[in-house]
Amino acid sequence: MKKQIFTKSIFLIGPPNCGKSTLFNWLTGFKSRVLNYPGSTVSLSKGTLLKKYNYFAEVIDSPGTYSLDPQSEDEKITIQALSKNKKSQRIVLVLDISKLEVQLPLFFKLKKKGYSIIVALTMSDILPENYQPQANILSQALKIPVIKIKGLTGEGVLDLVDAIKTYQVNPQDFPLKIKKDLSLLEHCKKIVNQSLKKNPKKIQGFKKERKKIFLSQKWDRLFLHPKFGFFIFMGIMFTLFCSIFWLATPFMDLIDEFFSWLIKGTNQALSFTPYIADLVSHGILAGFGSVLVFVPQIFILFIGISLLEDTGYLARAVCLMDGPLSKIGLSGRSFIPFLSGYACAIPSLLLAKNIDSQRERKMLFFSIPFMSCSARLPVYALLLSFIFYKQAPWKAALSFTAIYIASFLLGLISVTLLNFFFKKEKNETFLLDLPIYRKPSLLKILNRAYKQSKHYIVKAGPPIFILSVLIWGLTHYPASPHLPEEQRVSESLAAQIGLLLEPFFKLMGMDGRVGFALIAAFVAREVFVSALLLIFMITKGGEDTLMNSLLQTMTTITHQDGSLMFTTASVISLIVFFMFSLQCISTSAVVYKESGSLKFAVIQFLSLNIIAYILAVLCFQTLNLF
Amino acid sequence: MKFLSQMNTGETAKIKDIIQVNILTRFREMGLTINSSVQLLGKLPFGGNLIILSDYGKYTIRKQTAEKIKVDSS
Repeated sequence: MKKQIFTKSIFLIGPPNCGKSTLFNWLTGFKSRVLNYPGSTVSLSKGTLLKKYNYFAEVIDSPGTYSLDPQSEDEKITIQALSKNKKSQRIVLVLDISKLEVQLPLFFKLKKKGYSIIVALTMSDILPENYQPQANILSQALKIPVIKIKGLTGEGVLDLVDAIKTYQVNPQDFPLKIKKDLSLLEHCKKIVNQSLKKNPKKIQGFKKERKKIFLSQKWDRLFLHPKFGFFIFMGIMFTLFCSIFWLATPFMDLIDEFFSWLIKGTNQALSFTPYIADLVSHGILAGFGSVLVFVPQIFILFIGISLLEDTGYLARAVCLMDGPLSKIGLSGRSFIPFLSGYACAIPSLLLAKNIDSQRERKMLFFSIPFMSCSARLPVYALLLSFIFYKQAPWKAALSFTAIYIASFLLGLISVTLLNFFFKKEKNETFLLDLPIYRKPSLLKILNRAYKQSKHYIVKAGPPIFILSVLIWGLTHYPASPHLPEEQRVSESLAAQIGLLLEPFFKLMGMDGRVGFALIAAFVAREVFVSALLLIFMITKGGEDTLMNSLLQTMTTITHQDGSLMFTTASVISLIVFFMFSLQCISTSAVVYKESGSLKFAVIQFLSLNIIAYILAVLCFQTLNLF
Repeated sequence: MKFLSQMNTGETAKIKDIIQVNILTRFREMGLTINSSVQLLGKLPFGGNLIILSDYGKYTIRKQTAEKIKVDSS
């Protein structure tokens, strides 16, 4: 497709929560999302102005900023992007009409730098018309076009585009003089009062009405209740994560089944050339499958998060969790990415990338893999079923819960320790705007979920795909594709690596075969179970029968010296290994893409796996003493 | 004179001093200037955040940050 070249661009700038993204959606056709708490767009959103406006231009939505002296990373991004292509840009300064006095200083700062500005006043649908500052008076005072926009209906957007098309900057307008005895804020207050026709009744009415809106937030009495607030929050989070587990599973199974069908069909269609059939079906198609299988989880998680964000609840959740998390060097914004690691590290990392503090983001990227994700579930289920084989099920269930709690604590401990490496900024502050509650828009929510899913496929897909094909190649070659699957796997390069590394695996009570299963699990942790099935040649029967056969086989597998391989000590050391290790190649690929640092991803990968190995060895050797 | 963190729920006071430069800048940008009034709407338990109301909106502030802001409720 031919790349579009834009000669003009419309740059949207304004403080957080002022309605920039809503305006961007109206201009470009719902190609971005609405943000309800500061610092949630770290990157810029770009789109093309809709054809109906008859003006060919690129529209850029920037992260919210309060000033031109950046204090956070998202503000830095905005200022940097603003200074680029200064000549071709039309700056639309988006201001919340209910907070006009405090947001107007940004106009003067931009004007001083020589930008050609048009002001869009948003949130005009929340205040009574009678008590609103008048756009025409403001326009006269500021000597630029000022247009009121209604976010819900899009009223005023056409006028704004017309102003963008026709507005010619008059050089004589610079600079705007401010009386020396007045501060910038005082000057802005004066302008706002002037736009209310200096009518004391209107000025008082404006102030009273907006305060009423800030105060009439009856939901806050419930959501920010000192006691119930936390319970409600936990309930909402529980519902969200349960829905990721349960709602996504059928879709994930469907994708899985579709790719199984496609692989089988491709294999049959290309049966005349087994090498190519093998590569295309099990290598390439399975690689695609391993990328797409996470999409339902990402889509559902972002529907939930967008819903919370669009309604305004997410800022309340941040408020609730900020106090406890600040004690370990994080802010309230980190809680949701951290917790969603329980479902899957991939969407959780995508959430973490939206955090404005680089320090916090890196700490999260490092710690999220500790959370016990759903891929570990089949592994723990097998290993705990072995430890409590033919015993009361509650024992395994209790241990399962203990593993989940331990993984959360591990995450917290790792964050605490990471404070030594990622130094806290001196005089760190936290002040967050609590936006008003608003009715969410289904279209915007679906759009955001779609965009995030697309972002994941485009950005993280290629490395996941390449690494999956690579791991598959290692586990199936150089053996001939004519050989039975079990024989191919046991003669593969990975099996040879497993044998080569046997002395290392022996220290944790395992041999080269299980070592190979651990290597194969780098594609995805749950592969460990299927790799064991392959290695021990358990291929017949339904799923339950397979699992039972595997458990029975595990009780009989021995080392070369005749001693049992799977003992309580060796299985517990395996659990420890899985708790600490970063075995998921997809996670590493996403960390690399989202952190933008290969070094960071490699250090994380190596350090977590080395720590996991050392702890597993220590665990096995210690337990063996008893 | 006391700190914002020491205010009682429902109490209104005027900001008198902000003893940290970076807070001063951000507060000013959000309309929380010296002599502007602020009402404490609530405090979250276990040293959690404070919820405050100013003329320009509702905010949540970390307790440690609130300990840097002097207010006068008289």
